[in-house]
This record gives sequence, structure tokens and C-alpha cells, in this order.
Amino acid sequence: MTNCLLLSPRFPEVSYWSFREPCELIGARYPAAPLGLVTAAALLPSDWTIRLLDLNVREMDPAQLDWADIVMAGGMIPQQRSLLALIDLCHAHGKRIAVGGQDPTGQPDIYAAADYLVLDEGELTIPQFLADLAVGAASGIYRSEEKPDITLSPTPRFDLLDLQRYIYAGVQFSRGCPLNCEFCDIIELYGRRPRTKTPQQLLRELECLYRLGYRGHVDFVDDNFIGNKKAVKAFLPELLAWSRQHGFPFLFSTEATINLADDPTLLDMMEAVDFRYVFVGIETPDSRLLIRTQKKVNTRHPVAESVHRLNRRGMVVTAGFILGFDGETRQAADAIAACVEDAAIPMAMVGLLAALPNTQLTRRLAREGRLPKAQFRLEPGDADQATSGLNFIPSRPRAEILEDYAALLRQVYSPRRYFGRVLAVARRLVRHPKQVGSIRGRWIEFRALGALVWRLGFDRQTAWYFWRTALVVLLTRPGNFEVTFHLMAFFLHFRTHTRIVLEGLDRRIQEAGKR
Amino acid sequence: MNDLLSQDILDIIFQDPQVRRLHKETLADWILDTQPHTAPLDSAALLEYLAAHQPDLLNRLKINVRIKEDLARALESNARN
Repeated sequence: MTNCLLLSPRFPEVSYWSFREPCELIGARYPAAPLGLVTAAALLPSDWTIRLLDLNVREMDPAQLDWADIVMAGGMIPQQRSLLALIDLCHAHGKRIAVGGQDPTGQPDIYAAADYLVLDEGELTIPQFLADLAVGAASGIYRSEEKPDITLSPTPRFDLLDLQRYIYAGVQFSRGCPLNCEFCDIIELYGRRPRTKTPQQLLRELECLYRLGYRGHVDFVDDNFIGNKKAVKAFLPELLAWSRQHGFPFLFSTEATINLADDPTLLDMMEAVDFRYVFVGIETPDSRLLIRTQKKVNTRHPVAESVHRLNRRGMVVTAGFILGFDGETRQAADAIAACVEDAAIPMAMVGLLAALPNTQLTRRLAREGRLPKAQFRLEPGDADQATSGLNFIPSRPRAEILEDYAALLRQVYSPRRYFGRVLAVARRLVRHPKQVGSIRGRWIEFRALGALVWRLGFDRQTAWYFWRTALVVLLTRPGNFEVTFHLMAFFLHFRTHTRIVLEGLDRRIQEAGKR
Repeated sequence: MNDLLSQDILDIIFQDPQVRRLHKETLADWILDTQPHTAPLDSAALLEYLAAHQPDLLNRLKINVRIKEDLARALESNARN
């Protein structure tokens, strides 16, 4: 019998994705459950005793390490510092640790201190690791050039999660993306041929969540949910039948390319199963930059037109934008600000271009001698693209980009603009929600509404916009009040996040100006 | 020359479903292969390329109300230089 402790390292507090304040409103501790770790857990031997500790939702007592025979941890770039600290902590307690996931796979050298590096996709490398462990190997690096057939991937061990502590649970239908964006690491990690699970396999995962008593928001964590449209179109009718049979226990969100808006059949299907949020990588409205960064899929229609089409299908669009592309001009930030307003995207993740490990962009910049550091190491205070981007020599002055970025953030997350976009999207959104939520859930939301009124409705900077938005929606689109309330709650996070990022930017602008 | 003209031209071409995909791909390849990454796309070079390789496309742009005046000025400037 082996005791295995799975650890999910901490994400930085200031990350765009931490949503700390909205989480607190509803009694959650972190938005997303660690799907990668529970997927890895399902690949471990059935006679192992497994415990999972997500440091984003629970504090760790180092004595918990004493129980474990082996520790396993995995993470993404924002978790890098926490993951490195865990390696040290395990060694201080005389425990062996295996690490894997996106960041160790992308830059294993940083994690050389770990005992085992279980890299690439776990379906192929965890068995190699287990075989070595069984014969007493004290260390090892496990890699696979091949991409696994994910139809053989087992149902993740959702039972290990304390699901009440998250805003949403995650499932994964596909890995990989057919696009060829220069800056993207997904195509390097998972390939450009999307691999999908079978409909039955995914329904088993949802059934598992259902049987665990989970209800509410399920996120398809796919990096491009519509990478294989044929497979998605085969899956969604099955999901609809399952949802009907179970009384629509879940609402959904995902990430997809913007050409989702061009496919009415797919939109019909997604609307029918209650997809309510979609994250889209818009990056920039400038077609010159989109072509250069090899994201031509975004050039087919004006952004606002596509976003509005998604809104009319009940989906709130959240979107990523990037500043710092090669060849961009001083107008780039203004163009992004205008695009965010025209499309009325309340939650716009505006970040700085980052040369991530093992991307086409990183290789080109290295060839051009524009990558001062070979590794992507997070410094204290770094969290995501908002704080740690521009890790290369940009094509226009760094201080200028940072100034434009600061001005852009101030615009996008001013209360007037943010609440204006919330109101615009609430007016445009056409929703036929199927998932109605539990009585307990309603009570939690009611309490959260009270807290939100207190925090935004009596704050001099937000009161006017808050009450105007709330009253106009209540009077004109009462059916959309719930989503309006959610989007307004997210402002609590954006206000804090923007303030912290701007403080850091002021320092970086001064440093860049001195160089 | 209008700094945004090259963007307007690309928007029109890439958003037009009547422009063949092959022409769009060829144009994108030309930008990626021949134009410096680190500088804004040069409208004059783009017009020269269209005139030489996709004249039909350029003729359609010349009558597009959104850009025809800027385009005429840019072509005139190109001809002078």
C-alpha cells in the first residue's frame, strides 16, 4: 500500500484568474478545481491511498507530508514559485516528489531538483514512472513524443475534490488546437490535431460529478472547444439528451475560437445545453498583427459582429487581448480599447505578450537575439501576462508599451466603462437558461447580492454606475439580472487586480525609462 | 501615407467571403515571408504587391467607398516615388 499526496500549488493572489473577491462572496476559495491532478490521480494504481490538497483552497500543514510515501504535484507557469517551494519543502521532510504539468513539461530544467519529472501527457508517462517506482528507482525523467489517445483516459477522480470550494468544476473534451498561432504553447504541448474523448466517456465524467451531488457550473477546459467541430457536433446532442434526462443539472462555459460565431448549427446546440460563457482569444483587432502572429481565423469578421452574435445566443464573451506584438504602432492600445467597448466585453483579459517556453515566437526571438533569458522564470510579484509579459526585446520602446498598457487598463476597468459594458451586454443577451440552481445556491446568491450592494452600491466611485445598471436591467431585461449581478461582482476583482498591476507597471515604466 | 490604410485594406480583403482563400493565403504568406516583423506593415509595399500579383483585388479596392480616397492618394504617392 502506497500513500500518495497530490498537491496543487498556489496561484498568485494577484492573478487575473484568481477572482478572490467574487469567490469570497459565494463562499468559494478559488474559481477552478485542479482537473489535471484528479486526472493524474485516476491513472495511479487502484491500491494506492490518495489524498489531494489544493493549496488554493486549503492551508497546508507540513505535518501532512509525514503521511505520504510519495508526493506528486503539477502546475502551470503562474504556479511555478509555489511548485518550486514544494520541492524544497518535501526534501526538507525527507519525501520524494514527482512533478509534471504544463510548466515542468515546457521547461524541465527549472525543476531539476525534483526527484521525478513526469512530463508531457500523463496517460503515457505516468505508467513509465510507476514501472520505475515499482523497481525502486530513486529518480527519473519520463517523456513521450507520442500524443496519447484520450479516448482511453479514465474518468478523473472528482471524488478527491471539495467541490463546494470552487466556482466551477472542470471537464475536458479535447486536447490540441488546429490553429498555428505563433505565441501559443498549446499546439506545442498537445499538437495541432485535436484529439477528443467519446461522448459516452464525457457523459460518464458528468455522471460522476452528478452522483457526487455537484450542481451548477461546469467548465470545458479545452483550449479550443471547437477544434474538432465534427466531434463536438456529435457530442452535443448526446449531452442535451443526458441533461434533459437529469433535469439540466449543469450550465457550461468553455474557450473557443471566434469562428464559433459563424456556425449557427453549433450555436443552436450549445444554446440548447446551456452554455453561458465563452472565452475567446481576440488578441488584437489589427488584422496586420493577426496575420503576422498567424491567427488569421480572427480576421474573417469584425470582432464586435461576432461577439454580438454570441451574445444573442445567450453567451457572455470574455476575451483575451495582447499588447506588445512585433510591428504594432502607438495606436494599438487605443484600437484594443475601442474593440472592447464596441463589442461590449465586460471581462477583457488585457495582457502583455509573453514569449512562453517552446513556442514558435520564442524560437524566432531567440534566433533574432531578442530573448535575454532562456528560461521563463517568475519573479516575486509576477503572476500572469499582466505582470510578467514582455520577457523579450520588443519592436518598439518597452517604456512606451508599458505606458500604453497602463493607459489601456485604466480605460478598460474604469467603473464608467466597465458598468457601461455590463449594461450593453445585459441588453443584448438573449438567454433561455435551463439550469435553475438549487435553493441553497439561491440563498448563497441572495446573500452575495446583499454583500455586493454594500460594497459597490455605497462606494462613491461605483454607486451611480452600479445602481443605474441594476435598475435599468431590472426594468428592461429582468431575465438578465442574474448575469448582470455576476458581472458586477467580478468588478470587485478587476478593481483590485488593475490597481495592483498598475502599481507594478509604474515601477517597470520607471525602470524601462532609465535603460 | 495613412498609417491605417494597410489595416483597412487587409480588413476588407480578409473579411470579404468573395475573395478566394488562396488569394488570402498568398497575401498572408507574402507578409510573413517578405515584410519585416518589427516594423508596421508598409502600405506602399502592400499596394505594390497587390498591383503586381493581385491586380483584380486592387481594382476592387479602388471602388470601395471606405478607402477609395485614401487609396487613390496612396497610389498617386507611390506613382510619384
